[in-house]
Amino acid sequence: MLYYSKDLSQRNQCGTPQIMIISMLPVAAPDLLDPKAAVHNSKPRLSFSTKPVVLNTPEDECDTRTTVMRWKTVSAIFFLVVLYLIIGATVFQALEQPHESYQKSVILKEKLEFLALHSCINSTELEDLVKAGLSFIAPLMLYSSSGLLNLYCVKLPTRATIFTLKLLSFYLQQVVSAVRAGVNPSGNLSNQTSLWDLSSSFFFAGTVITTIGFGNISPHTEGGRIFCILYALLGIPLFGFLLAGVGDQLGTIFGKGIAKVEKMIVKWKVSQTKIRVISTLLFILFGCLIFVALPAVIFKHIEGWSTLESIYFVVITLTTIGFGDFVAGEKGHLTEGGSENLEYLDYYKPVVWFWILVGLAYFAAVLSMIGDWFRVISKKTKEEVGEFRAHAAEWTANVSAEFKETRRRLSVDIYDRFQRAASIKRKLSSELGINATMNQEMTPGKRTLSANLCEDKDTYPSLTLSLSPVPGALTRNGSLYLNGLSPDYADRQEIAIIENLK
Amino acid sequence: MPSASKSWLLLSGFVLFYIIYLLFGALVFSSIERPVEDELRRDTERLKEAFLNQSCVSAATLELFLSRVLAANKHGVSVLRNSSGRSNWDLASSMFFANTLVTTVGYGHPTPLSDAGKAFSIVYALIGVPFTMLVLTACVQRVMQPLVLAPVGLLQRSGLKPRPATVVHFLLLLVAVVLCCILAPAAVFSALEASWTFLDSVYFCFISLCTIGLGDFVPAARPGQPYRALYQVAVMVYLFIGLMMMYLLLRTFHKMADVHGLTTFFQLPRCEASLLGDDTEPIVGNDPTPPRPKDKAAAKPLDPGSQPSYNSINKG
Repeated sequence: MLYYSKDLSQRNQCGTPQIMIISMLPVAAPDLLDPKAAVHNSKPRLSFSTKPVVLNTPEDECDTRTTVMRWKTVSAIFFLVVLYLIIGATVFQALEQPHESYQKSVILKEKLEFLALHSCINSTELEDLVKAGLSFIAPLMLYSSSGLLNLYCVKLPTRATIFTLKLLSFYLQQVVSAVRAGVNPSGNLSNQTSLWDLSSSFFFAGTVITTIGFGNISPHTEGGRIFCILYALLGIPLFGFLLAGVGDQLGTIFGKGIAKVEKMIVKWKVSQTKIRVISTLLFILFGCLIFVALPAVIFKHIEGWSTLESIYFVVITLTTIGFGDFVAGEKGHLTEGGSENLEYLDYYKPVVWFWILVGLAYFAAVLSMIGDWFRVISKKTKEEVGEFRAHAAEWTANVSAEFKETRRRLSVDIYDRFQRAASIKRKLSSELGINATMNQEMTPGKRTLSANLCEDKDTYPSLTLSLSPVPGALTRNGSLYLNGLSPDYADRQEIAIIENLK
Repeated sequence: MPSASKSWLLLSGFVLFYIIYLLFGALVFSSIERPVEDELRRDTERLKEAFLNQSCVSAATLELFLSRVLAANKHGVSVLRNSSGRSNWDLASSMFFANTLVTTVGYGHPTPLSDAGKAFSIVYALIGVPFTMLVLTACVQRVMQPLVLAPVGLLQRSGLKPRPATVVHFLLLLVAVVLCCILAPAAVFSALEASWTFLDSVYFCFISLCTIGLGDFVPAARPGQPYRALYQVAVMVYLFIGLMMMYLLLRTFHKMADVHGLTTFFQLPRCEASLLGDDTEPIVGNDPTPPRPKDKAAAKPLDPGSQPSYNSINKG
């Protein structure tokens, strides 16, 4: 898990833009928490390699030089890691194997004693019993052995057999502790494969530094455990560098292939996004084929697992979860029903380990891609929500602007008519001597005036018709009397208030 | 600051969603695996009863019995415990299992047994692992400020130069993390688990926090464990916090390396190495690629490759 947290946008000195590689360092998800980072990660990184379609020659030269350089570094680191593993394997073997041998000899002794006193089961059957029993004892190492004894409290009549049973129980107790120590007590001492021979220790050291940690083998001595801690402290970062380098190489190889394909596709005038999507899909497809499907088929064939179990093993291993219920290359040891050591080809285990290495790099890329998609999705959702809000605000603003515009026109219209009516009235009243009821007609207008002015005070510059009591004189100030009805000169105070609201 | 509170909101949303994801996985695993487990347990109990009622154990009978027990054990059902004993797939244990799955620790005890469980765990892991990464990095981002940037600033103000300040701070942080995340929990574990010595507990804490997860020690596995669900939830929280601290350590270390120019120094041989003709750069413990770009991506508005001091990096 420590390997997976990022995709790096690596800008090498040549200036070719982002080739994504895997590294062991956590790249934060600042995009989600910091809006400023949106600038940095503007495009969703869908493709493993985001090289531009057109390759310039100087960049090409740079790239080849870079690739060559990196290849040498990577292989150097690779050999260093292998050396580290070999050293670890020898130390683990030195620490654990003596303990294992001691347990084995104890078990053998007990077994012989038991056989000597035993009546009901002959030695081959006992062998079968032990082998069968071990397969289920092994995973139950965590449980107490007293429960195990209860299993074998078979009711038998004679004292001899009761005594035999007690010895059997005791023997099984020894078996359990032997199994806890990692010893397989079945079979003769001579033709037995140790759990801590060099290749198994090598494999164990590999599972430690890749943080997979199957757990089918684990150190049982104190020294082994302390050494395991120290070993992991140094080995995990070292392996992280190797993984980064391998991921680099993978990315370069894939990027070159994709560039060629993109060159072809661009002739068909497909959009950039489509190219990206296609390259991502190709990456996933090919990667799955090479690193998942093919090994699954091989495991199914060699280990005898079902299809689902093989795929399950591949995924669980390559995400470094590593349960350990299925382990490639360990069939000969304490697995259920595994009574014979499968004859593995000599290079099976090293090939498995190498596959783990490259497959880890591939999986790290896939998982960072999925993480990227999460980020993009959440960012897009944020953006979309923001956009939606912006759209909504714009829409409301437009609508209200239009509305106000209409009202303004209407109010100007009304005002004009009103002015004409007023002038007609004045003429009439001057002729008839009637005082206009203009004041009363003003009041509702005044109220709505202030309300409307508050509404649009900070959105749009509005027109003011400040109406003077002199009939016919219209001046424009900057505020809009939406209703258009003019206040009297007695209300000039209100005009001032209303204008202050702007 | 509104943006800060918004970030906190987002972060807690993340964590909440993560917990929901775990619960969802726990429910699914529980519903898939538990019936299988119960049925197997019943079968093996019956088998054991039948076996015990015989007067003599012949090899053939024993063989048959053992093969049936083996098959049951392949599904994690042990005939050794009482049938009324706890299940491996009740809600708390399933949640614990889901947690070990998405943090890639993967103890291996218990493991999914039915085919449906395996298929679901594949999909669950493929989605859950990157999501967990995201949540963890988001959390680390959030604690960078109080745990890293602020103390370094404090150190600098009290007179240290920037570079030694970062080194001092990193060492202090290292000691603090080791104390709080490994030694103290190890003491607690060795008290709670009867058969674990202190060394075993330290070993367990370290193996879990590095996500190796060998599985030779698994907490809350004792048959008569009181408050088992609470214990398991507590271990889950501990794992999460511990992982966060490990990430924080890693980041601090790399920022420190940046400040000291180590990463820029070793990233020189990109194109220029061929000009220098130097192929034998020191390899041990250094790689040009990873540290530099990490901080490029993490340092948001800064140019790639320019890291004057990580106090100047934007405090998100």
